Order: sequence, then structure tokens, then C-alpha cells
Amino acid sequence: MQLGRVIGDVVVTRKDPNLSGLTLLIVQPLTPEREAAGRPIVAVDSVGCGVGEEVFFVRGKEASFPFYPAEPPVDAGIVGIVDHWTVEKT
Amino acid sequence: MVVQPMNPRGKSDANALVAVDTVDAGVGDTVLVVSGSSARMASGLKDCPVDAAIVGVVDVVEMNE
Repeated sequence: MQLGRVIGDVVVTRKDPNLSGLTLLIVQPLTPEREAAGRPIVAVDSVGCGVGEEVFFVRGKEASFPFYPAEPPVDAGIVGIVDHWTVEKT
Repeated sequence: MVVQPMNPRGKSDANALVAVDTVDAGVGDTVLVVSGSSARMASGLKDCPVDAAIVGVVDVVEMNE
């Protein structure tokens, strides 16, 4: 799982029928120091988060598991909203 | 289809890839691509040897940074 911030959303009308009703958000992966880490990705939301929130997400087929037994074709999914995190400097 | 990945502002940010189209996308459309084993969950691709599929045609990208 990775940390990220929701920075936008995507509107898609013509899509795979198994994506109907799902919310697609743009997530910027973050380092523990809250700096951007890599390219932004489109992730499906399973927890009801909004733009600006810090979240954690999974990549790969596992992103579809929150919607079981449906199998939407998604490769990234937000699975939690982060309240806060701490990093110990070593 | 050959797809050029881009960032939310429309700038190319990775190498082009070949993806199977499942939604009748056209050349020039902004699309949603799913890659890896998830691509096989797109409609009509069950058990097909594919690792990238176009599963949506994007209408609008809204950014709020």
C-alpha cells in the first residue's frame, strides 16, 4: 500500500459496464515527508473520500477486491483515508 | 491501439504502450487504461493474453491542487 493525496477527479461517460457507479479520482503518491513521489494515477474510490484528502491505496488487481463479487477492471484503488501519520527520524 | 500515457494536465509522462480497446475509442480521444492482470477483467477479455486495456473515454479531468 502507498500513501497519496487526492488531487482531482475524472468524469468518464463511455466506459466498461463494470465501472458504472464507481468514483474515479486522481491520486498523487506521496513520500512520508508529504512530497510528490512519481506520476499521478487514476484510482477507484471504495471509501468515500474527497479531493484534498490524504489516503492510502493499493495497486494491481487487488484494487477490485473491495467490490467483490463484482470484478471491475481497475488497477489502482483507494482503500483508506489517513487521519495522520508519524515518521521517526533515524 | 497505441496509447501515450499523460499526466492530468495532458503532458506525456511515460512510454507509449499497446492496449486492447473495449469501448470504441478513437484516435485522439483521452482514455482510461487499465494495466496488468486487471486488464483481463475488462469486458470480453477474460482469459485473453493482454496486459493493457482501454476501459473508458474521458470526458473531463478536474484538478484541485
